[in-house]
Amino acid sequence: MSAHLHDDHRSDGAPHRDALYWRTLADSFDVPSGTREFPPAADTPPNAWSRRQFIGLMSASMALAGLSGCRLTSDDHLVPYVTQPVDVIPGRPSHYATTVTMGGYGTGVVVTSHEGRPTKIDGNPEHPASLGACGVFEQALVLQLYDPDRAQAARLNGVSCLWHQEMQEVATHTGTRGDGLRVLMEPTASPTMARCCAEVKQRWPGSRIIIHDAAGIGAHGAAGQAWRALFGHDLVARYDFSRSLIVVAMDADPLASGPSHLAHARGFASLRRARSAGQPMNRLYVAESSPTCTGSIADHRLAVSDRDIVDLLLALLAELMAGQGVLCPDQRIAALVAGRTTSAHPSWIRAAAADLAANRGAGLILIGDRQPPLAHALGHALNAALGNVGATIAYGPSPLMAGDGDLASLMRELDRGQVDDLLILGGNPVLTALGDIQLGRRISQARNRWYLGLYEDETAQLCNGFIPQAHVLESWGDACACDGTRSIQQPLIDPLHGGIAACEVLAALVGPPRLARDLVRDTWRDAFQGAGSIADAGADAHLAEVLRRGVEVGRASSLVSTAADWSALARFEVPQRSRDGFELSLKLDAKVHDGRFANNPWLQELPDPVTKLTWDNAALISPAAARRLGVAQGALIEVRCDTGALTVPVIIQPGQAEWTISVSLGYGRRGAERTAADIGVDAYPLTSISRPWSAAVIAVTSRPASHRLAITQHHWSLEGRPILLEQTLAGINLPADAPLQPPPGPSLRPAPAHGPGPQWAMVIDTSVCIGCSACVVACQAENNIPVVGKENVLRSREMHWLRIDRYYRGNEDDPVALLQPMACQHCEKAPCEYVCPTYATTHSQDGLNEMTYNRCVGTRFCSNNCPYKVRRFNWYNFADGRDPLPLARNPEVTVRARGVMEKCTYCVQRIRTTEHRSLVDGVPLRTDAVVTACQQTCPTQAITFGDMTDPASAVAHLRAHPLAYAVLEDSGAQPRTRYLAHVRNPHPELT
Amino acid sequence: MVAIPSALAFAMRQPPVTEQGHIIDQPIAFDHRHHVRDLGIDCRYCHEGVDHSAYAGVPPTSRCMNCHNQVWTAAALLAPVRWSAETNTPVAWQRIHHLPDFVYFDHSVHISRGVGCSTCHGPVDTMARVYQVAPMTMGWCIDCHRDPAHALRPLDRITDMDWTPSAAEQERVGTDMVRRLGISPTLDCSGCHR
Repeated sequence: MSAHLHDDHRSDGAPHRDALYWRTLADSFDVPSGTREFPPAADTPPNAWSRRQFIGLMSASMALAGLSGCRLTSDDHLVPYVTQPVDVIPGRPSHYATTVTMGGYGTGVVVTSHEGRPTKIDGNPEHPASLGACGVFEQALVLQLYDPDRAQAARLNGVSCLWHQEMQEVATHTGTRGDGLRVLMEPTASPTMARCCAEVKQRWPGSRIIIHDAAGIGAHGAAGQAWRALFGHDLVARYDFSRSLIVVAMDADPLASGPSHLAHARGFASLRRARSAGQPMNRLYVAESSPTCTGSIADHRLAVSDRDIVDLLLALLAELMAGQGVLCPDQRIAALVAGRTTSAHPSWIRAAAADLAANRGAGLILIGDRQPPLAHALGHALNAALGNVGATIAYGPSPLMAGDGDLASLMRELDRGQVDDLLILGGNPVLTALGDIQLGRRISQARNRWYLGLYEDETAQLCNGFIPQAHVLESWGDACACDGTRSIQQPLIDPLHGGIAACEVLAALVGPPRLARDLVRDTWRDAFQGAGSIADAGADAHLAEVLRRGVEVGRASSLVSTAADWSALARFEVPQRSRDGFELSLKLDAKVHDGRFANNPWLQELPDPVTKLTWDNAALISPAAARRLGVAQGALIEVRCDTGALTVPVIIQPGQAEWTISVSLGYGRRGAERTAADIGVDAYPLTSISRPWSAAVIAVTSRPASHRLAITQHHWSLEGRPILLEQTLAGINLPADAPLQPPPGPSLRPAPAHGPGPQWAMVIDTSVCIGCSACVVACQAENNIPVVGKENVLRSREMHWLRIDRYYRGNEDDPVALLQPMACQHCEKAPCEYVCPTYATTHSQDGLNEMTYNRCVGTRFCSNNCPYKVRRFNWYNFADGRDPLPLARNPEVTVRARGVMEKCTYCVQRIRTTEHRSLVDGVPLRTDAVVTACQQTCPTQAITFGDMTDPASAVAHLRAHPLAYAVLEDSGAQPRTRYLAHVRNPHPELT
Repeated sequence: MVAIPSALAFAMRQPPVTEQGHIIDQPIAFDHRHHVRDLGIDCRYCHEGVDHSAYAGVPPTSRCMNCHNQVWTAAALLAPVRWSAETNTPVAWQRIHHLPDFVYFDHSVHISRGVGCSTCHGPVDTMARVYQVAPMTMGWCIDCHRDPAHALRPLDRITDMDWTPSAAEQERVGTDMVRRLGISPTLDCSGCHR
């Protein structure tokens, strides 16, 4: 099967009724369809500006435009170092390996620093949780470092204070046992933090360490509860996707969320590159309520409510036992299965069961962190019965520090007045605490409340003492990955605002203040001396080596053999039979996570991987639900639940489960962060201890008002032309001489002139693109791409050079999603070049479509003539940023001014720098020496770049493959970027 | 209609606008004549990045103090250097050679291809205060990129301030360099603008 993808909208705006593929629900609902490239009023100023402000701004810009071109006085300074650091060469960036943490787990990264100024974060190829890739959160940390809204001073009762003196004061009045001392912190897998916490506990035996994380990953979530009950202790499951031929993900997004998602995505992609029939290729089954990145690439996706997952698991078990003869690991599970069978989705279950049974030891059943412990236990039962445990799944010890309790236990102590001093180390628990804990109300029952935070956020506002926290790029630390591999976090820059690390606060509590660097060094030395085999000097040398590589390579913790005690099954609550009616499903956001990144403009403006929503959160409802409720896109609805009510705008999301309303957490922030203010609604109050991720909906009522949602899904339409191709594994074997597309007609344009050097080209494999958008953020960081704000996104003025187009095929309730990263295609016969009146866009000898900003006068003819709609225009001086945000910029790339067109350059700064280095060093240019920013960060390695004239290069090899095609090939533009047709591996009985 | 733009275009390329020969006071009266011609210090002792970085670099104060904590330790002329070292305050030199922000010039690649210091910067060893000699306009850059042979010299003469070959010798040396090093300077916009 081979099919062309047609965009669903003709240039006249009329929907293409019989379209096989579509982007929006314009046919059925009042959803904006493909907007014109420059929609009406595209050149009007944002609403927020009055005419007077606008004219003032314009005249200021004009004055600057007039002056910046010439220079009659020299006021430009050259400021050298007083003493140049040994390893700094001005003009050449340095790279440092360090570690960033999410949910306690470490991810190894390599940070690029220009003269002491970190500007870009990439993955560390040696770290097991990164493998050289980086997600959106890790990359956006560099902007967070320079956030002007970060807290800048320690204070006590509104007066500035010396934090370490105050810590000693706390230590003094805490007494000998410390019964009133509570430390509330985020999960940590840092050996240094564990040591500092142990010292606190040793000095004050009555104190307690409370660990809280909204994400509830691993040991601190439902999975942790299940493993503790089944196996008797904390464990972490390690999944090997590179050996899993059948993957069944239940309410899980293993490829784009969680601490190991980068490694999962890499392993998954390694079995997803079948380019001829007969090659091994995995098959992905996903059951989920709201589409995720993993769901987008599934071969068979099932839209089911979160509450139906347990039943689905039981049905899968039943089918395996009855239909495939798989032995049930325990009678108690069999009893559970017998009592709960469902007849829903029989063909999906039959196909998945048949595949799993046929691939014993090469399958993987994953359960999401939002599912109850019973689901995790059943998932383990399935994996154990199929022989996957020990093959594709291994259990290792949890590297997370075990605390003394959770927020619920702290709540009870606060109510009893047992807490005198509450020391909160990061995490903004007042925002992220479950709704019925009401931490914001209860926290004042602690006499002394200290908060170490990056921002004056919701928690800071309720604490009488505040200490600014050092950013992860500003402080020393250490962390473990899921597999126990230890790595070091080293500072790239002195704290910009005098920030303090969490371990320094704890150390100051128990003794004289110590630097985090010394604390980390002592921890690592002690570990060696404890090991006994390496002397002190050896320990320091080892530490230096770990520091250089950023990770202790090859030192994952050993596996734990598991024997499940199935009698624990009785302790799990069996969810009631699915009720009718809507369920409110709450989830962590793909862009702001639990709210911690809400003040990050890169992430706020990043289109959500699924909805393409920017600068907001919304209620995702299914098309069927929208019909039932009679609501349109953007309409406000009031969702009344047993735990509270929420008024939220609607997004009608294809593929959403019919009875599920999904809202992401982390919006509606009330702290002092200016960017995050007034964005979205806060759904945390609807969470509860008994049901942290959902709420039962009592009523949904439509409000007469609506909300403008800045969704980019309908921007930059390709106007009804063939865009992408797909194949099934079974139908893949095409004869090499049968092209996928008709060749272009004869051209009057001259053949492009090629220089003698490399000819750069890119190939993107759509089969492995999961839409995670890491490349979009990488491009933004590398190329100084500005953020424009919601008002401008609504006018199609977003500046991202790289976008991920999302298309759908099939019916609107359960469509197949197709993803296609789209950036400048670097056409050999580029339509943009022919129409530029000032030669601002030209062709280079090595095949790049160049954009020379200083020649551009902003006619926008090029963008008009671009068939791929990848050119972006600076309607304003979007690049202006509050200090110190401009410090995040890459000095190798021009910061574009107002009135200038821009677009993907294939990271020309990296090409030119690499060429120069090869000339200076006298070594030939290797064909794989240039790595573009998007390619570098892609977790699935979907992007290949290199010299297409070198027959040994990967890019030349892929371009010649029968699956390679050019978008709009018949237009004759001869794009340098090619795509590999999307290959799926559906079950024969489900196609 | 044509006259005014043409006149403007002409005027923009004249020394008062390009700042050729414009003398600027520096915070320290550093004399290249003394250091280069009298003492024979190589350019790269101070401008150490020139052969491996885009920037030639301006020496850190510590580089000055390498010698001046031994010689002329009490000279009034050097008081700003000592003050910089003592207070850990960098010296803010006035930039002489100013390229626009959208131009990315790489010193190291020019040095490695045989473009000498004095080719662009002139006889710095004769300057009491450094001034700009070349127009530093795009046309001036492109002239060499179109015909590099007239601007190249052997790699061991890069920092030689006295390299003044005859026309015939320049022709011979330049052509030889172009052939031997395979020099084909970029004429692509993205070679310098990105």
